[in-house]
Amino acid sequence: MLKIKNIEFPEEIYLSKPEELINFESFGSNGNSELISAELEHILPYMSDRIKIQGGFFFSDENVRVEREIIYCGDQVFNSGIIINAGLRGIDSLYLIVVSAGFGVEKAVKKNFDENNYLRGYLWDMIGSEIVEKCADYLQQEIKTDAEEDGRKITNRYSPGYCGWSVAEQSKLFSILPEKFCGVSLSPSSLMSPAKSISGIIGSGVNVKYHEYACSICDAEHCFRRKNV
Amino acid sequence: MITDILSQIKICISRGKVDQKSTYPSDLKGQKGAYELTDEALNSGIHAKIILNEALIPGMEIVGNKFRAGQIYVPDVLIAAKAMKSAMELIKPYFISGDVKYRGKVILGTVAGDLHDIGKNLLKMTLEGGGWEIIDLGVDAGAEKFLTALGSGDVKAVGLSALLTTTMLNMGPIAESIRKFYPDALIMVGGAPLSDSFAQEIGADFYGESPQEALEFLNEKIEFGKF
Repeated sequence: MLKIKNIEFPEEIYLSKPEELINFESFGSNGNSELISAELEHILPYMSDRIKIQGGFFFSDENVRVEREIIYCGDQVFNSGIIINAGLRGIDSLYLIVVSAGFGVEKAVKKNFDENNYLRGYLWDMIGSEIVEKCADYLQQEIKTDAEEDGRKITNRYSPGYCGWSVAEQSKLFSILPEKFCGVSLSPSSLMSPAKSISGIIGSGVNVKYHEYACSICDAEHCFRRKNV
Repeated sequence: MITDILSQIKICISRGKVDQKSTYPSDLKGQKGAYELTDEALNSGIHAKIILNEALIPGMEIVGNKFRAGQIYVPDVLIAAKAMKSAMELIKPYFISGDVKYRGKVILGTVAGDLHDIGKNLLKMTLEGGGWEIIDLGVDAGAEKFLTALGSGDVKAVGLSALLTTTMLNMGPIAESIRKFYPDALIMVGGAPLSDSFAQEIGADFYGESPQEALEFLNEKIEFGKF
């Protein structure tokens, strides 16, 4: 069975107050909180105009199987590597996902950096990343519900570029999807445009596992995620 | 008197006081910022080179050292960089006329396949604040883009940045191309997943964990006549 679905995202997910989206711990406490709050106040009225969320999934259970380093999905073969495939053990179907915040955020980032408003540009960048991540989490919950309706469970979400899976493989993922699915296209080096987008896969099956701490299945010593844990 | 105004400019840069209008930092509210003080210094006859070398660069050096030591964070660097930029707007004409010279030209870019640029941008701000001229190739820059920029001439060093373990692998072929066509250009690499051993493996001349380390590396090279 093949299935494709666009998801509606509740506004409260992506139009949260910026203060709720940003991890202030990473900003220290050097007395700049007033300035950061003022910048966020400036950003808030523009968020609904700038952020246009689109997201959806493609589902397939046709010829889906996982070998040590390879995933088969229909006619496509992903070289996803051993780290990801360890997390996909037991799958019999695959969800391909795309979420995008649209071009508005990256335009705001560029505009502010061009105008030397570095802090505001940086905050827009952080907000864009957090929002698209939150929407991907929401999409994952929707997929979980979809899978459970068929008596299946889901795995973690994996994206090209992470956990040893080459960014170049993104072109294979998008080759399965309709052109410009959720408004996203790829550059020749397989980067997504708009930049504030997430693509990836979620496996599903009756006997699959969701790992609360996905880094536990990886031993990449220098990964930035490990450094940040 | 000269020392006094230079010292005030240095404080404004290091604390991110852009101009008189800016309300940050709160204890300097209403006072002149880096922009007005630099303007005053130039009008009082202090040479742009002295302002740059004895106020602006040392101001950013304080920022860079504090960032390296973990005493301040990314927003603080960005705030200081804005103050630096405002003062540099007034110094810029002296670069154009040749009265003030950059220490050298450096190319920076986030490597092909990667679009994370905050680290690269922080390095850019730090090196500019240290008197270096930057050619910024942006993100997703492949070997061809670096080689074309190197062709513009008189480039002292190239900085490659990556955030992901998958994209840092693209640094190797880029470094190799640079070595082949521009053997004298220094290659610097940086980014969260990188290490000294990886830098050595791909034949880079330098790996640093903080922008300030890269600035010090370049300054040392000048001092010891590498360029």
